[in-house]
Amino acid sequence: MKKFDIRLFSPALLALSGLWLSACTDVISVDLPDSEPLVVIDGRMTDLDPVRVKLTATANYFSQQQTPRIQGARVSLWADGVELAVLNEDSAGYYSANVLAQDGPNYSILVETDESDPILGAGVWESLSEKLPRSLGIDTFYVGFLSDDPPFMDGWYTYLEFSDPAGMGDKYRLRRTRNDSILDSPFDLSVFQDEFWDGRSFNGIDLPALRLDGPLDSGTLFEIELAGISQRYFSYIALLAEQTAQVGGTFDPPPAPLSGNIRDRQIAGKLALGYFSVQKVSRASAIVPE
Amino acid sequence: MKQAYVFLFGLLFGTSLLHPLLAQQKLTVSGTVREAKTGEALIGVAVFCEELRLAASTNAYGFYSLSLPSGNWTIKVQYIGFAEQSQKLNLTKNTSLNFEMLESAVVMDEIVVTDGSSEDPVRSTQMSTAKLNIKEIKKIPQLLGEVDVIRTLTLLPGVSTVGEGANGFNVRGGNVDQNLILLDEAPVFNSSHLLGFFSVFNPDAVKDLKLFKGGTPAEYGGRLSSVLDVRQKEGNSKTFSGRGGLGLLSSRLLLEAPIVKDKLSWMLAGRRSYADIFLSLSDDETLNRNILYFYDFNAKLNWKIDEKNSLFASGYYGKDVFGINDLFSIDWGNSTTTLRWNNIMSDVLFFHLTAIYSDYRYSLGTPPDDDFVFQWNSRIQNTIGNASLRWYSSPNFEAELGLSNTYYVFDPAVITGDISTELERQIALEPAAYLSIKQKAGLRWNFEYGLRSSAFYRLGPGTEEIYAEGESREDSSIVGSETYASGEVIRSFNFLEGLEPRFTATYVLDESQSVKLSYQRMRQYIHLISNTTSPTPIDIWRPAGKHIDPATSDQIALGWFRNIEWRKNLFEFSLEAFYKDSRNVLDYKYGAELLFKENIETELLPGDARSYGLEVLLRKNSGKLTGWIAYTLSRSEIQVEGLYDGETINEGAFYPTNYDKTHDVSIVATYTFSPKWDVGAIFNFQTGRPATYPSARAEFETGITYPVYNNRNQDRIPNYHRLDLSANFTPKPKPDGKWESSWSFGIYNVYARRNAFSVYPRQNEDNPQITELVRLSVFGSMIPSVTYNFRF
Repeated sequence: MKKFDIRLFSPALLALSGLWLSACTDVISVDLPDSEPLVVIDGRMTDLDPVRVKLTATANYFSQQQTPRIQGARVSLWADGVELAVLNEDSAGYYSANVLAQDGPNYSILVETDESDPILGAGVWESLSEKLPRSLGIDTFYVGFLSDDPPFMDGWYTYLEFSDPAGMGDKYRLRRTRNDSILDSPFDLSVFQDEFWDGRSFNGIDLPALRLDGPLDSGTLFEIELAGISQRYFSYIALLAEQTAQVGGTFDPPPAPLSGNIRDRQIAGKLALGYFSVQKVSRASAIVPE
Repeated sequence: MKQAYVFLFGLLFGTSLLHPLLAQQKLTVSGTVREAKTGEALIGVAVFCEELRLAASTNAYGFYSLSLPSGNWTIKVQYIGFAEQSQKLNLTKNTSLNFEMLESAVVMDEIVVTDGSSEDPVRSTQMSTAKLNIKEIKKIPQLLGEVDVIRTLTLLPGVSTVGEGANGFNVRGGNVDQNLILLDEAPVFNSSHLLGFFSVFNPDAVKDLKLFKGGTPAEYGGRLSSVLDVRQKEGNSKTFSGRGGLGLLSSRLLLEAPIVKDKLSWMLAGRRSYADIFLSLSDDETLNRNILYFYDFNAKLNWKIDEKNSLFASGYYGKDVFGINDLFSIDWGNSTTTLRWNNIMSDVLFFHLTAIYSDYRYSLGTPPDDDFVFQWNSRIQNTIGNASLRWYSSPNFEAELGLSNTYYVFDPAVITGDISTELERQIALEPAAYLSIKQKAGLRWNFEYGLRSSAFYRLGPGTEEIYAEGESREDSSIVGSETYASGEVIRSFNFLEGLEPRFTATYVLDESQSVKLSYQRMRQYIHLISNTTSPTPIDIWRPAGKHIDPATSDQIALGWFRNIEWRKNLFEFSLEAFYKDSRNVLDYKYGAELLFKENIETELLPGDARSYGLEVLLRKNSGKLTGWIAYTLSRSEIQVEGLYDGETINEGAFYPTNYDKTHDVSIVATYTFSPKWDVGAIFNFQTGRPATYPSARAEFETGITYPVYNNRNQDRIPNYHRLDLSANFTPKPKPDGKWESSWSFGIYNVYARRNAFSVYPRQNEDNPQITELVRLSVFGSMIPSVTYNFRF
């Protein structure tokens, strides 16, 4: 049976852009000036995992190496204006604390560096606060065999069933892992919202289950994470996807700075990059039969 | 009766303007000028009295009116590509004089003496206009052999696009939605086929087109930057005939015939592309189920009821269809219908009444037999009524009074299938009135001036959000909503706010040169909501309303026009400088979400725009060698200075628009070697359009590197240049002369330059640590074409 494909939610522009990207492309050389490093704060707090923050700095566009890690910073987690914890630096630029997100509080983080920091020097940055969003989570995640449904090739596909709570405004992010490798290219960024199907179920009865990936090789372990996210984070990921996977064609949007929810506390208006997000997550996995 | 008209116009125009009529009792010569073989009315034919050197020109329906004193006169008609005719006349009373002109077999190297006809670029009251001769553009090289009027227009000064294959066109630094495109007076909302590669106008069905870039007559309104007025053929009123062509991309056929000779005639034309037919032959299953094609039909019925009355009914229907396998499909298209009644009320009064319906719609979705059915439909409908009365008082004075009313219905999105929802329908009314006058004062001054006044009413039913005072318009700042009943005015913009003065003055320096000055105010009440490099077919239009203001522009232009005679050849030369200032043009917040957005105002940033430039055109219309050299030096900028965080672009400074091109040069030439062979060439050079290159890069999570941007459009993609060549072979017609055919051979992009459409950042697919800049070229090689054309 043919199932609903999630990619149909953004069909038109991607299709039109895809047509254009079939035109010829080549890499060209352009002189770009060096740039001053800026902080990039990438933080995530969920109801299931320790809070984690990655601190990096921007690099010249053609630097062709990993961007610099910010070490030795003080990273603290706050709830409703009260400091909850100071995060430990697990490895260069990676900080964590064993605190889970709960319903109710407004969570935020504060990042401080001093003058000894070789990349950023002294600085203080804070995130806007986020609450734990609602999400009913995954109902069922399974692998099914698809046959005789062109243009899809015959084979094993993953299917997701879940329900949306009544009331408009729920946003979701989907992350996928195949054989323990996270699918993390720009084209794997996936966020969606309930504006067309508020309060309905993708359960194969009300609405068809979402077909996600396939055809998959036998024995593949496929894991999925469905996270309830905030409106602002939804817009942030949508813009990130747009600016990395939908560029250059005639029907693509113009370049845009990726402004998250991080602010420079000392210099008003100075650009700071990244996002601290609070998410309600649900995970499931399935193995493709032999 | 005539006195009654004089009295009526005296009341309307004021006694001061009656002076030309009262100066001397004159008689009138009036009539129509038509093509002898087909009976097609000819537009812009110079009709003049040789002895008195007084001239008029035919209007869009071939009608002219020339007031002369009684006496013996020679009336001549001249039109490029047609043999001149003259008629001796002993004028003792008002006289009707019709002409039927024969095409010249060979365009002679002749000097056309137009003596002040409106088509003479030196003496005419118009400036900043671009005209194309359809016969001429059929000879120049064309992409894939498809004759395209809009692509050819972009070879003229002041007209450009963001790149090859982009939807629409830009005029004097204006956005694509600022062009009013009229097909037999009906607005066309999407002028492109195949996602922007070709225009919707079938060249066989087009009789005449004119682009107003400035100095726009008061009869036109509703867009800021230009008016493209395209007229369809009326249908052969003499005999059954046809023409068509077989090309690599599409084929076309036009048939026309009289139903009652010289009284009632029809025209029917159609085109269809056939890339999908070739795709279906592919063995590749991912290809052979794809579809991509367009088709269009043009039709016209022309009924000359009597000497005074005629009726026209014309229509256009076009569609593009694009589908990927059985996943989903998108289709879009315009349809227009025009009904027009022309009435020659007297020798000096020409009345018309027009009813117009225009409809642009698109739909996308899954196949109807899919398990999950999703169908998205969007539509904009216009119903328009126009009436005007033109008074040919004398060769020195013409006036036109007109009224129009446009009723808009916007259906931005109606979703059906397993999911059912929709965006609110939006209704609006745009009434307008205008007075337009052409006046010659002495031998040196010609004027065209007028006043247009428009109003706009956004009507219910509808619901409008209320936003918190002093906060940015966002979903989070909504504090309530207001509901409006059916027909209730949600917001109005009155006639005083919508005053649009228009003025062009011509000062004739001598027989061969003049200077002109024009000013125009234009107002636009509907906006195309599009945040992509080029508009997509599925972008929607939104009317001004509670939270969206209409856009207004002022433009001033100064020009020098000169006819140069050199070795018995006539060259037209023009030099124009312009400055245009626009308010309330739309830009978009970073990351604007425009799809299915009810309160779209949360994504919009109103800004101010300015453009200025210099346009040079040297043109040769007759002889074996014809063509033009066009050069534009210009700047187009926009400023978005929002009140709140995230609403300002480039710190509130002016920045270049996507279509700003400093230099734009086109050389277009055709040479006729013999009746059998002619060749054509086009060379085009353009400064690379603005681009935004990354200033740095940053990391997201584990695998994504994204570009960091500073200010918008501070860089440029590489310059663009291209050479195209063509050759046309016309075999000697058969003795019966009924079937004529020709072959067109062309090469587009002769030296296979990989012109950049864009340069964009990309993470290397194999090594995510590597970031690069990629050039996208729409055409990376030369593209040959061959087309077979025929007529009978």
